[in-house]
Amino acid sequence: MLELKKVSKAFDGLKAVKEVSLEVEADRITGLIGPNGAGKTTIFNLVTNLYKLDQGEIVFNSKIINGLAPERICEMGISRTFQLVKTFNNLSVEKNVVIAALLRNTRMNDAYEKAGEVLNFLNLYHHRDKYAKNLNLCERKRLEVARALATDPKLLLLDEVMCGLNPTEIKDVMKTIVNINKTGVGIFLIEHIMSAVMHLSEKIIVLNHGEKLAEGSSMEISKNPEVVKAYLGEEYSLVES
Amino acid sequence: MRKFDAGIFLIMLIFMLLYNSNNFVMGIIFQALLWAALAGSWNILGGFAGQFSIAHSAFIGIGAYTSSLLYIHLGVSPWLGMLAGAAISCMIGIFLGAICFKLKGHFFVLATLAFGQLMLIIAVYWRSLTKGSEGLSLPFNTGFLLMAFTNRLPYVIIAFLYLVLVISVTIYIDKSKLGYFLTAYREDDDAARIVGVNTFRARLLASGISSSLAAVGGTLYAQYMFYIDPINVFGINIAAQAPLIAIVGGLGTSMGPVFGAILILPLTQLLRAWVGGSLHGLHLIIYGVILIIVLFLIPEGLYPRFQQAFYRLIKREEKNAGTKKSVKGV
Repeated sequence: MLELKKVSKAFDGLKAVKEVSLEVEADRITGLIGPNGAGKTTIFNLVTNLYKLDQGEIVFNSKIINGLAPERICEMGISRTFQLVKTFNNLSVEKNVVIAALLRNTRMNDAYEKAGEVLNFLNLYHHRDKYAKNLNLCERKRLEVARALATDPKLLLLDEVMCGLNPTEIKDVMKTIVNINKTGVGIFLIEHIMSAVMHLSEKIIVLNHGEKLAEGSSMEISKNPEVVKAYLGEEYSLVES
Repeated sequence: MRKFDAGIFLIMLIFMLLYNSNNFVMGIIFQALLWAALAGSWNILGGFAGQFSIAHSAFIGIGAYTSSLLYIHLGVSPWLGMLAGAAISCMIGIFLGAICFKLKGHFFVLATLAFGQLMLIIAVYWRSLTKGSEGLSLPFNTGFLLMAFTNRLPYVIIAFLYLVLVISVTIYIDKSKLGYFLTAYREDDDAARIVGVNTFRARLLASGISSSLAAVGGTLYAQYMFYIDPINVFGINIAAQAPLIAIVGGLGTSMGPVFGAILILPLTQLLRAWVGGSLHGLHLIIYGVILIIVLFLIPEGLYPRFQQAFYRLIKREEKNAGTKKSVKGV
């Protein structure tokens, strides 16, 4: 459903993403992993056109979407969360979600109803009157997911939603992600917590230094010597060999 | 809360009628009402969307000059001139937005400052049209159709209705999609766009509404003074006054500008009347000191502070009523 064709992006000559091609299938969970600075978040920013790509093409449901305004891309069915949370902090939790729900609901009442449903689904309903800035990090990350879901996306991009959470909270988030996926929303997630990605994703894509290193099921990825080298360093693989 | 706002309006109305005989006080009330409305119109873009524009004087001036020129040269009623000014101002506001909304933060502020001063320069040097710094004097013919009166009360009533219009538009926007989108932009542009909000279009619309409302105030000012010159409507002090009142009263709140204007305008006028004669410029120094103290003590603005106090009062009363009831029940 989402396809990147030889996508490149450079910042002041530093190539953050080099000719990456990848495919994310509908109704599935796809993981994107790689060491820090591998270009994972840059890929998300290119898909949502917060960064303009230098080369390549991004195709979503057989339409070329690179160059479209972020709000148009959202309208086509791609929504996302941010690694550094960007909730509307001085607005109530409910209003945060209502703003997103207004995309597909013209009437204000319908938008509030939709927001209520989504907040319930993510277990935030009892916080609806609080300012977003008064939530803790875990709740604000859930709020970002709620806001993204309120736009009725076909594909949801999750950027490190589990970062900074404790093991119990991680289990809850994983359950939520599976539940979202069950409602027919494709999921493309960046995550550093390996056990979670391995467990959730049917397909994993590995990036290193802006290039695609490997792609496959979690079993294939964990056995791939290139991936092990990228994560644990050259010396480790030398010693092993 | 609506009752609270309506109450404020009622008190203002009573004051106006009470002081009808006193021209000085009526003058202050007119200025306060006019500036409350002007600051309110600035607040639509500046408060909700956080777009800190210093070009509001441009739209006030366009309103004042459009209606005055139409009246002087073509004999068009200022009421119609007011609408023409609002329409022109709306278009220029959208045009200015289309150029400046791509700029972020301080650069936006500077660009609007430059635009406001550009309008001042145009008004000074386009002598064939505006008579330059000499200014425009309106003929002293009175009548309702000419929006010119010998008594100050009609002006005060018109200014009052103008304020009610601005507040109504603000309250409507606050509860509509547009208001939601503008606040989303203020909080985070990227996050707003990513959930499908066209923040650029929302701000253009807000700029059009804000500018046309400012132009209405410009016409009213010209009709009240019977004279306008570039510095009086396009000047930097006019440009700074609107944001100042909105900030003192409470940014992005519907009634904030009213509170700001109720404090600031009587303060300037009374200070000038009391200490203006004794030492040149002293009233401005006292004015500045008072403003700094207010902003230091109440950074969130007067209106939110009043609102909190009002809520607390209601809660206490409800509590008292509640305990009484329970006593009865026993």
